[in-house]
Amino acid sequence: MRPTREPRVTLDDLLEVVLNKGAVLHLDLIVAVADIPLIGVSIRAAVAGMETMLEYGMMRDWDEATRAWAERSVVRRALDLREDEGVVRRMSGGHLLTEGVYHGWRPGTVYLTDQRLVVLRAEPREILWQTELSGVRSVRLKPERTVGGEDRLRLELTLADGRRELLSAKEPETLCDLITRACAGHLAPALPPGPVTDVEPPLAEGHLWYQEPRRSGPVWRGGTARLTSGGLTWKSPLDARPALVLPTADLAGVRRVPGHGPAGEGSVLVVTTAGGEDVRLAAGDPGLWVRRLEAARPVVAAG
Amino acid sequence: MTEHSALYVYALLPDRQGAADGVTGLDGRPVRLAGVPGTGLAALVHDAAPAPFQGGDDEVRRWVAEQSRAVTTVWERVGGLLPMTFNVLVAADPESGRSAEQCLGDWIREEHDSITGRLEALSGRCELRVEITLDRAAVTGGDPVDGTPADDADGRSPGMRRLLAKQREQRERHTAGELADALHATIRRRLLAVAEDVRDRAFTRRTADETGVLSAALLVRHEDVDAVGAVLSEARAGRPGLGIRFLGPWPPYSFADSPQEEHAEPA
Amino acid sequence: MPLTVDEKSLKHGVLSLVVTLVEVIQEALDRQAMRRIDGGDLNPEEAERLADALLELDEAMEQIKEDHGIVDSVADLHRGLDDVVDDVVDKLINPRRWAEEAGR
Repeated sequence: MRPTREPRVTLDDLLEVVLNKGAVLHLDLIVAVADIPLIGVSIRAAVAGMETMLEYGMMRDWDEATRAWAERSVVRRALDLREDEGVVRRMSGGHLLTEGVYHGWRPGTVYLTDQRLVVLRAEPREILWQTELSGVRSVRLKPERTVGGEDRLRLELTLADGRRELLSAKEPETLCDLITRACAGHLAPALPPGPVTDVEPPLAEGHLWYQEPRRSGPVWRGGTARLTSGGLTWKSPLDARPALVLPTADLAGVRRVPGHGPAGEGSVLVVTTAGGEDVRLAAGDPGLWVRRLEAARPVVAAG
Repeated sequence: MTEHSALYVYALLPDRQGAADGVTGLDGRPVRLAGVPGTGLAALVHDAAPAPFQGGDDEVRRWVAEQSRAVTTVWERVGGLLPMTFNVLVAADPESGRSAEQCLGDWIREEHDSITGRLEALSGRCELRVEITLDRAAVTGGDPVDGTPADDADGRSPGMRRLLAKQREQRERHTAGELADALHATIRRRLLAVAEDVRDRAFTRRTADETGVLSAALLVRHEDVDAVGAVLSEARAGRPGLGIRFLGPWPPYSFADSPQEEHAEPA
Repeated sequence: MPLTVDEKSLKHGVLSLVVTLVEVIQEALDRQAMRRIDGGDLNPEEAERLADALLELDEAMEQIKEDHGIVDSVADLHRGLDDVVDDVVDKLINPRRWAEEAGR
């Protein structure tokens, strides 16, 4: 590849470099220099203050209290839940009463919890009908022509004792689907399980010096090393990404070497890669890092 | 203060006669070398009012382009200089009665050793800009990352569907990020075998579908520019989906200040 | 990169900055929500309520950006801030971290 200086391509880059870089005269009589506010830095400062607050657990109580309140505010006006019961879905609906002298639809709210299916009327408060989910044998959608001449989908439930019950619901398909799943014994988890988005906690993490090979001779740089089951990485706070990435399989050996390093006499350790290259690191506690790296190293099969 | 009591400073450089001949700077003003006798150094300047240049975005863009053009022209003639940032103006000192040129000259005399040292370090070198991005679609092959069921959106609320989509995107970013880390370490190492110094820079162009791998300014000897190009060509050939911008050569703006890592010590 | 500093562009810039910061926090909230749903902290009802509330916030933000014509400038600013802020904010509001800290 050849570099380009075509102004149309490079103007933005030039703008950035001329405005942010280039020498600044440290001289009292400078009138002005380009001044770009360091947004990132001030945000970091603000956020660091928040972190302190959070670390002392102040927000945790608040979080729990808020959730409990939200739960109550939904539930109090509605269904009294059992100790370990949670609402899966609620929607307006009703139950067809077929017992006794009265025969007809009684409107209310349909609650599907992880234990029960309930039709509740708020005012005057009455549980119009309910069943344990364990008592539901099957559920299906059943079209019905209403008094007004419209076709409506009803939910027909068959219970363990053979009785059939008819429910109405604002979203009959959704409810039917949810009941089917709930009765299958496994309410679908809200999100599919997958590789967790959390970053794997490191086996070890700490300040380490890395001797970066350069054309003009190697340079010791300070930064943060992370050892995970996946391998060793080292990143300088000045770089966006790690300058050293050694997968576990590449960690062939580690040893301390005599000599002076940036962290003092005898602070240098050498990691040998599978490719036979030596990576020089230095630590304030080199012995500890050697043990950590030894432990992370793949066990070489005998012979 | 008179209309032209200040100096707009473009760069510091070895005092070489004729280096600024015919060169123009901001708004077409002719620039000149203000030599500092006894130091062998000069400043590339023009006279200006003691007030910064201010204006709309387009005007500033034009000025920056003009400044860059002037500095680059002189840089190519003399082979090495310390470029200044935008809007560096030196004013006269009314108290002592010294002119702007005298003030600047006194300062250059005081800083003579460090300026000369920096000029030597940068002489014969140029700055190259390398920006490498990874197209996430090429990483995940356009398919959802392993472990994510295709589209399990049935029966979920719109909010939940949105979160699901976000989660999928986040996993793709994570996968691409890990690959970018490994690529960064490898490419940085290869570039440093050719370049003399490197400084991480912010990305100036990156679309929402790309993950940044490396964005850096490199300090390179003129004769090694092709070697940097070869490293980049090789990187691109080895990895589909890798986008590379390769810009320059420019005067070493990013390396004009003394080496950035105070804790770095030569081994 | 806002270079002009007249009143109009100042307002535009400040509004863009504020909206961008809210977006950054919003993203952290989204991730936080996913973690909690993933982790089984919330019951399905709570989870849906949370997800829908976040959707409403998202729609409101889009509307604000449209109304003020700052869609592009927010996108620009957001990209610039992404690398700096995301991790930090996200790390902060992850209660698992608080729990770890409290358990020390």
